[in-house]
Amino acid sequence: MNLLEFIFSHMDDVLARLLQHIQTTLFSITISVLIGVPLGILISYIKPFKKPVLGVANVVQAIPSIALLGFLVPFLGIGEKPAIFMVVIYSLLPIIKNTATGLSTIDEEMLEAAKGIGMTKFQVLTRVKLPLALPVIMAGIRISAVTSVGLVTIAAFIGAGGLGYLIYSGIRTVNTNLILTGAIPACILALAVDGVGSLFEKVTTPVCFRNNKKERRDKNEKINT
Amino acid sequence: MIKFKNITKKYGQQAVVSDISLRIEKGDLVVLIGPSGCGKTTLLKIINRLVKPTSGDVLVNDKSIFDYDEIELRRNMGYVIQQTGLFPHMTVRENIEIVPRLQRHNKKAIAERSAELMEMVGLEPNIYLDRYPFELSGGQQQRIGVARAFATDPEVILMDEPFSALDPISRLQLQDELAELQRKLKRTIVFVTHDMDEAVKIADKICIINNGSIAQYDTVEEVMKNPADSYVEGFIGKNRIWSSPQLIQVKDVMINDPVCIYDNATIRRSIEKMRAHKVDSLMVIDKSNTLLGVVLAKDMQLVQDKRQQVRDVMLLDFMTVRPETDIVDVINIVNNGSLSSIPVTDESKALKGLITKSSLLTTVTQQYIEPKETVS
Repeated sequence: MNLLEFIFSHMDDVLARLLQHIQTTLFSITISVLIGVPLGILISYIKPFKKPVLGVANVVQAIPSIALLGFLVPFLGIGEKPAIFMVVIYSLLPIIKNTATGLSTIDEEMLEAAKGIGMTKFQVLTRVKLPLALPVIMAGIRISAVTSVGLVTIAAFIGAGGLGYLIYSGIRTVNTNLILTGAIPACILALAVDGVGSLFEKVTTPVCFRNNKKERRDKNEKINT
Repeated sequence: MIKFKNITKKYGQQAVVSDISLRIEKGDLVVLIGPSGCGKTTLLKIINRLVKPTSGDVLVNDKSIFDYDEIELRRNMGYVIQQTGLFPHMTVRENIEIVPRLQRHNKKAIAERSAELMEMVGLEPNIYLDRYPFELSGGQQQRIGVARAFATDPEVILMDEPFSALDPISRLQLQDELAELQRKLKRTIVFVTHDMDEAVKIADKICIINNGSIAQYDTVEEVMKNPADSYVEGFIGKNRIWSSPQLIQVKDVMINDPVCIYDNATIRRSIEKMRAHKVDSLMVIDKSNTLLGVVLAKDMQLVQDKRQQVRDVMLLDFMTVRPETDIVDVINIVNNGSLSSIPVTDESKALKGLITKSSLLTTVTQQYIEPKETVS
């Protein structure tokens, strides 16, 4: 039986696994963003926290994913729970780092002006800093999202399901078709997530940072003359 | 009204501002000027509490700035900085309206105000309100910066070298417009610059700062005419006054004791007096020093009866100037008039002095003549 026929005959199963894979990834990324962005904001304001927080995130990143999973099972059991935990931990670093970097590279004089015209700290954060840092933060989230797709695949090893399940089953039964049936959609999913991420990045980029500046200027010039 | 009371600001042991007391009257445009690092910007930022002074107090309308809510204080003070401080991700409208919107003012009123502000800074609202700062020239961006400072209609406006980064042409334009705006609106403006020409052009009063202390605080005219010390003199530059001759007034250059004659004197007497003082005209006055007319030597010679009184032959139709008239106007009058000298009178027609062509010439040429070293 060739690969395509195999995939089509297992279409229902593949789709169900894919859906589950997407769900786990999305859920994990949402949690990472909810933890990572506030942490990034925190360390950009409270400088002494910066080193320890980034340090911990870095060290966690260095642990092999399989080892981390093995370590988690005694505490969280098997299934989705430890999988999500692992994905969250791994995707935190790029999000925290990019949030902090994005926030701290904003022109100091402009921020002082914002303060000087009477904006509160919170207003400066929400109306000036975050919108300007958004493209950098989004880039971090995009990196995390793509890595997460791969990590969820590995998590099938501890019974988290998803496309990784097909791959493991294929490896155990030495069924190349089955391996590819899991691997190919996983690759496509990763690329798709990257694509969606880049789209988000574009949409959230303030007009002033976009590449169409020149076009806008030319258009204005036409109106003026 | 802004009043600094013994303000000192130290960074570590280094005093950037030391014990400055200063009173800025309501409606005055006061320029804080000095070389970079002299503490002028620090002094400005102390007013809106961006910098906390080490000691001393600042009163705004007789209330300590530390008794105001920090945010309220700043919202009631316009603030313009050199790099415009505009938010690049917001349109011109959003930039101008940011604070009024945060204060949740009526939306319609805000929109009307924005259009008004744009007109005020000379930009067409329909064209520019929905553009982004990067779509504007540097001069236009700073106009928006100024408009934003006026958005909440504040009584006090702080400007930190707002025009320094602009090209010379935009800079001059914006200076003119600010001066014009201030003439109409009469806000209390504190303006920091290192450019003396700028200061002279726009300031009501100049505060020259040196090493964190006030070297001189006075009107533009006073600072130029009577620099407090050699530092101020060096800073404003020699003959600086000639870059703005309108600051020289008649009373600075006039002859204080012109040759006069009472109206009941005879013509013979007047001719004698002219000979004695080597002048060709006399001011005719009465006992209370009121100027009645002018007699000219050439007219006296023609009169047959030398016993006539001067009041019967004196010229009545002549130009006079006030002691406060500036020298540029006087030069125009001299150019257009027939008289070689112009009497100076106050509002009650009392004679104060005399401007002659030669006294003007002396004044105008002074700048080209090296002052002699004086031994004291």
